[in-house]
Amino acid sequence: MTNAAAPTLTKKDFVSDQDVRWCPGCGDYSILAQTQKTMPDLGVSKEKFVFVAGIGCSSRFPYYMDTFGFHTIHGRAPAIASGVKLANPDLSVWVITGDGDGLSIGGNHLIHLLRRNLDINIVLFNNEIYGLTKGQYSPTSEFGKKTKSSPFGSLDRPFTPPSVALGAQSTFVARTVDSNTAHLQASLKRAYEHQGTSFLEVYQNCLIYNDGAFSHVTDKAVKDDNILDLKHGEPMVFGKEADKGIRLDGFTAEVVTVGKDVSADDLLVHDEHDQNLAAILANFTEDDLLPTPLGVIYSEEQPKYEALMTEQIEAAKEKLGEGDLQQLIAGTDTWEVT
Amino acid sequence: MIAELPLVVINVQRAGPSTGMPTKTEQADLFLAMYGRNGESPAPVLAPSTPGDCFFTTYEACRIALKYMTPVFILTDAFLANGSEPWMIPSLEDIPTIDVSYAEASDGHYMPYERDEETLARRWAIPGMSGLEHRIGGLEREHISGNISYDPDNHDLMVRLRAEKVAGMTREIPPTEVYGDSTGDLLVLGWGSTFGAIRTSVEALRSEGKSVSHAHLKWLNPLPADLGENLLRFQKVLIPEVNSGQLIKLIRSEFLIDAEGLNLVRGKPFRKSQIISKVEEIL
Repeated sequence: MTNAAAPTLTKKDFVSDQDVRWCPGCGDYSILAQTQKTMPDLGVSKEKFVFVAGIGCSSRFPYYMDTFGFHTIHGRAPAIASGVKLANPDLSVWVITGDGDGLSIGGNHLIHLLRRNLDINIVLFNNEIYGLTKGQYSPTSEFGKKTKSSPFGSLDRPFTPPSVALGAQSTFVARTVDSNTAHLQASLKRAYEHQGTSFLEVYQNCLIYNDGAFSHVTDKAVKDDNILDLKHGEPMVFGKEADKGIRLDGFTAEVVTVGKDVSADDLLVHDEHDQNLAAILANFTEDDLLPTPLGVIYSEEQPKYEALMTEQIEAAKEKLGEGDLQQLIAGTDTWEVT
Repeated sequence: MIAELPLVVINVQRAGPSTGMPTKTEQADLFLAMYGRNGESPAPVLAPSTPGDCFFTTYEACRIALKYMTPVFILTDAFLANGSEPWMIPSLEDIPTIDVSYAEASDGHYMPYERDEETLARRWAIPGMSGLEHRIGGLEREHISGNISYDPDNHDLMVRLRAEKVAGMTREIPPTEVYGDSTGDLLVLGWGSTFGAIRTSVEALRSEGKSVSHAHLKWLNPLPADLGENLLRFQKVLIPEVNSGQLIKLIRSEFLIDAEGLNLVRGKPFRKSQIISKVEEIL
């Protein structure tokens, strides 16, 4: 996918001439800017990028990238992106979706792309609300949330996107936040580098319909006490004073104070290749006492679908010879009548 | 539809609605193919008349989809899909190659909705083609530039251009073949899998000296340009369909002809006797 001869690209090369139509202050602006900043560093020539989106606020994204882009059908970006990738595996294909597009109407398409493991990068903007349709509860809205479509509180238990992805056999699951530009850029890079389907959840603030949904991980005053910044091979330490840690009691994670009752050696060490640990980490967000993990929750190397497909075709050719269309049409059970 | 990309949709019709009678035949999705979309978005609709004809109809649909940059609908049905007939397997050498042309990068901005003057097909560039990066999608496009546009006049123009593109495909349709005399008392007009039943019925009726002819439509949208004049050469027109009357509504509204229908919606193909007795009733 890398192209050594490609001219040096800059952020400007990825900015299209279209007016951005998100609300002022929307978290989407940062995700767009960080993506435009990150793309030139990937060593891919510009014409090889394809951004495929479904429908929703997030899914207008391709219009603002000066690359090939397709604003497709609600929830069906994974299906169309799969076709784009299989037709031309040399492309760098990105799916842009949201919590509504990706987890409501498109939930089924999403899980099958994840389990097939095509080398496609999924960026799911999670604002825990339906923004484009003006504020109804989404599959990630919290239980009891009062919205226009749930005036007495939502009765739906929400999805935790990384748990959904892990359940669907995803080979790469990560989480980042719109306002943490450095972390967002690094996460996009990691998602790109992963050979297989990458699932990146981005906490994204909807200023109009769900402002502050992620203030616990964005407000300077409290965020350090609420973010668990995952680093492979390092003990899980967090807090403003870096004095809190995560320890496992059986399969249950608990917060401990480092130095007081435990030493750093007793803390859980992050291993992004451990699927069981990933499942525990993904569930942290359901527990108010635990911090929110950011970074790479899980990654594993598995064969890419397109590679398996190419191999299968080559193996079949080797065994059966090059295909012959005329023979195929004639079949084996035909004869000529005179 | 709005993306104007080549696509062939094959609908093997069966008795509906819903799961209906899955193993039984019906021709009831003509209106679905014609109108089953939001907005005004006509698409070419083709129907093969015999199992062997499915091959060439599909080839033709692919050619049209690529030449005009459009989805194409093919309507077959359970009777055709389960049917068989002696068929001379074509030699690939005799089948013309379908040429596909792509846009070429130039110094200026690529205009994805610039159209061919004759066919009105837009220009095609696929991911990976340097200098042709562009965005398409489900929102209304601006004529030529392909940018999102909510401009009222532009929308009106685009709706008309998309319709005109499909209407112009009459240039692809060969002259209507009328079996029997080109003028007379009755023309039996059919489409799709009813071909065999209609043709054998008309043959039998003609051998008895009845003034009956047969025309069969492969193109349902657009209808052949010469269809109206052919219909007007007959006193009466009978349209047998395995539905409660769909092509007949198109013909009546298009040509203001008081055609009669023969409509049996029983999940079964027509029998020769059913058509013959209807013709005898009319004549």
